[in-house]
Amino acid sequence: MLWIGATVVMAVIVIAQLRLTFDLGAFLPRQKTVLHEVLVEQIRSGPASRLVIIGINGASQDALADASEQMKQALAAESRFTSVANGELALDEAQVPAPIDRYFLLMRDLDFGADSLDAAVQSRLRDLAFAGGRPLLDLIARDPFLATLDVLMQLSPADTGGGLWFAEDGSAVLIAETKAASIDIGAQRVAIEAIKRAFEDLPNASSLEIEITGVGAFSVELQESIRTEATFRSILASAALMLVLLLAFRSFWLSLVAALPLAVGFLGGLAFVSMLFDEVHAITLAFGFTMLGVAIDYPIHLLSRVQTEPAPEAITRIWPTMRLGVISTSVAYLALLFAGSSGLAQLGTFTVAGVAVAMLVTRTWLPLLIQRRPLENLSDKGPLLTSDLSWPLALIVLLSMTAIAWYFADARLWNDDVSSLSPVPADRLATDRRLRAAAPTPDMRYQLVLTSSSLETLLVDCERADPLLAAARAAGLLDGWQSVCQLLPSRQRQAVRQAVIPDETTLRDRMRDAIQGTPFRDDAFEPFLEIAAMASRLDVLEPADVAATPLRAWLDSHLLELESGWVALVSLVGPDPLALAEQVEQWPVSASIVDIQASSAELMQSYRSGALNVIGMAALLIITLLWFGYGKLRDTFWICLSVSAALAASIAVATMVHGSLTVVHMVALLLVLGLGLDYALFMTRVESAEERLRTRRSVFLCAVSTTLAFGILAGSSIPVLQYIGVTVATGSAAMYLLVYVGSSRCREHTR
Amino acid sequence: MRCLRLLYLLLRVVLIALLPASAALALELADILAVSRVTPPARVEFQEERHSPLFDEALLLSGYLEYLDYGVLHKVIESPFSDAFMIDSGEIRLQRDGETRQISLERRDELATIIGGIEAILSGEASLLESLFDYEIFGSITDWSIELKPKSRSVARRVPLLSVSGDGDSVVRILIDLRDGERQIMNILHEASER
Repeated sequence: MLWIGATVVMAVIVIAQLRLTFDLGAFLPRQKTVLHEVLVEQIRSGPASRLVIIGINGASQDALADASEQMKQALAAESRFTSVANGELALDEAQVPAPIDRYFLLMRDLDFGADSLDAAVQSRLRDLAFAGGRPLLDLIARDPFLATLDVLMQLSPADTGGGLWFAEDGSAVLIAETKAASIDIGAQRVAIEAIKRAFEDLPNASSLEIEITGVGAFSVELQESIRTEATFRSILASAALMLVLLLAFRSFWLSLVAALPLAVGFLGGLAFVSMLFDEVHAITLAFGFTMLGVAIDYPIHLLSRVQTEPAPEAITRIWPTMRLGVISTSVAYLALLFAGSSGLAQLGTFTVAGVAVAMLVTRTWLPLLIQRRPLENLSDKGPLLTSDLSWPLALIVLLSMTAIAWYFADARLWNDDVSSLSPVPADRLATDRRLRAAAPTPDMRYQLVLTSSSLETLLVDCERADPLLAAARAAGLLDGWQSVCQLLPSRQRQAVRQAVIPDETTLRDRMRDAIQGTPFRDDAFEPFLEIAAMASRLDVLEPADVAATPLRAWLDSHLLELESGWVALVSLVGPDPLALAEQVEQWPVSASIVDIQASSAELMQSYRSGALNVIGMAALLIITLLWFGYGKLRDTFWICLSVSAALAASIAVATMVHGSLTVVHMVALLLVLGLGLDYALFMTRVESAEERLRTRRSVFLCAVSTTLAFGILAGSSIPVLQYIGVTVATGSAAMYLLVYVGSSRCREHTR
Repeated sequence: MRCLRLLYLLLRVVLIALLPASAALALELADILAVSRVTPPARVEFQEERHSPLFDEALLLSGYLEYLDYGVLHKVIESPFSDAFMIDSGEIRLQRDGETRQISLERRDELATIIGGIEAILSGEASLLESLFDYEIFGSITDWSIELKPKSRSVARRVPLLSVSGDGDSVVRILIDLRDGERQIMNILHEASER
């Protein structure tokens, strides 16, 4: 009754408190260096990651051009996009966004001298000899230097003004920049839906085809496919587990009872994190449920004994071993609290709470449930539970897992392409490349990074880098760049630019002189005179001013405020990375070209080694615990050796199959560690021969069920599931075999 | 060849003059295009007035137009400044101060429509003209004008009217009306033209 009440309370807590979030950002590592911080920010909200690439096909080029234009207009009206481009800078739609509309005279070095104004007026006259229309007339009247256009074109994520973008296959291409970061999958889904809606609203939508790619679009697609695949594999694995339990216990009731600690443990873990954290990450639930897999062992140990002795006595007998196993497993899981990300910390909390609840359910509730059912003598139920077969069967399992590992290894051993592990299907990546090729978008791999402790110094450095970048462009080392100082000049530079704006009377006189002898009306540039007067009195533009404008996302992706200071990220279009990096080294400005791909790998290596260090510390703690719990150094030594050897085997197989270890492998290895401790502690118990038989039987059953369930996950096409499956399945099998050998050795010395 | 063509035109004028008045008024698009058609390469000089709400008097331009090939038109402004535009293969190449800038005509509907109309007049392609404009013809074969109204409503909002006038020999004037008081009038200088 107590447990039913507790379960209801936990369910109520979950219903009332649980707020799920799909933001993967919490699972990104805590950063140690500025570069790592930059990388994580790039992964979160980098400009390239926020681009959604849209391809429209299925009609003549004219019809596609119309569709492209209509889509552009429809999406530009959507608040969730920072910008939408299709290759053209259409003046009539160029609603000059704030703060450019007011500050454009402070965003460029302009010469308000008589000669310069004269040249500007003559240039505009020449423009009007070629083009016309109200938008151009308004622009010229406000801005005879056309500084507005200059700023807008430089800030655009892709080169505009060269005509509509068409991919090689004829698709009209649009690029929409979302306000939300690509890892905000919920917001990305809404943005993708808006794009699809705009497409469906096209007059000839039924005859057209649309393709949507980009990091955000892939995330949305993957969430669907991962959910489907994960659900399917989980159901299959659960069914396999139930089948093994049914075969072992020949009782549907006992199989259900065996699943109870896992279920209540999951609920308990969920209730605990719901109370502790404002939001629970969906990935915590997914990985957490996996890591709770160790909890299925607890009822198996109990149920394997209840055919020969009453459940309360059986649980009392195995309780010290189980308790020590749970505590040491919890120590391993607690290491996640220090593993380097808030998401992993939540995962650690969840699993420790879940394992503790599962243990308590096994200890206190299960004996009552089992007692109320008549138990048959399970030892007469066939050969599956006989320990004599455990050796050859385990060997077969291990060999099978090795064969599976070799199969995967053979497919991947020679494939060094990181994208081969990407969950995005190859044809979707090819589509993305094809569409992107139509538009010169910022390079996703290389960026110019400048850092400084103060914003002003950073902006000054950016301004000093600008002419150097221009020289590099002239030398053919890049096609273009986007730097924060193009939108947000330094205070110092803004003040200089304000200072060069003449007083109203002087400027009016100069304009009058400039238009003399031209057809321009005397008051043609009155709007410009008003804006110049206003600009000279404006407060300098600050990041906070931009934050309240549509250009906030642009600023956020080019200027970062980190704990260590300020960072400017200069997006490079068409860079020659090596040659440019060489030139940057010679610059008088402290800047560096960052290879995001290489640095990401370095970041992950650092993440992994940091996490492994923490786990190493946890291992030391576990050894100490075992020593104190067991009181025998030799036993502790054998347990640790067996578990370590099995972990090493598991790491070797996972590395061989997947090329390298990821944070997902690390989580899976923690589960393997938990399983290994459980197996080892039970296998090294000092007990009678009859008891030992039952123990070996229960541990064997634990190993078979775990290996089978995770073997099913190993067959998944989704890397994350495959990582977990391969690691845990091989780990569980190896763990059983090595612990078996280790415990035999151990027993010889202990008895 | 030129003499033969003049003879042909003279014959037509005589024949038209002999016809009843109602028939003389029924000038067909084909008749206009027969007169306006030019075989490339050809070159004419022009003077152009550009009226704008920003101007209190028209901007006067002069230069020459070259019809280099079907679809290839070169406009060179010589005064009051030097600029040149080459229209070819769906794009405009603007040459200014030694630099060239390419501008695609894709999605620059109004510009593409105006250029398409002029190209149809020069090449004599009735189908092209009819695909872009509704038209109305005025005058006689020796003093004609054709008013072209863009079929595309979005273009018509920005370019309500394109009017081409000519005499019995050639196009003499192209007028483009834009909204908000913008108007461009290009006068073709006969004496310099070569047909």
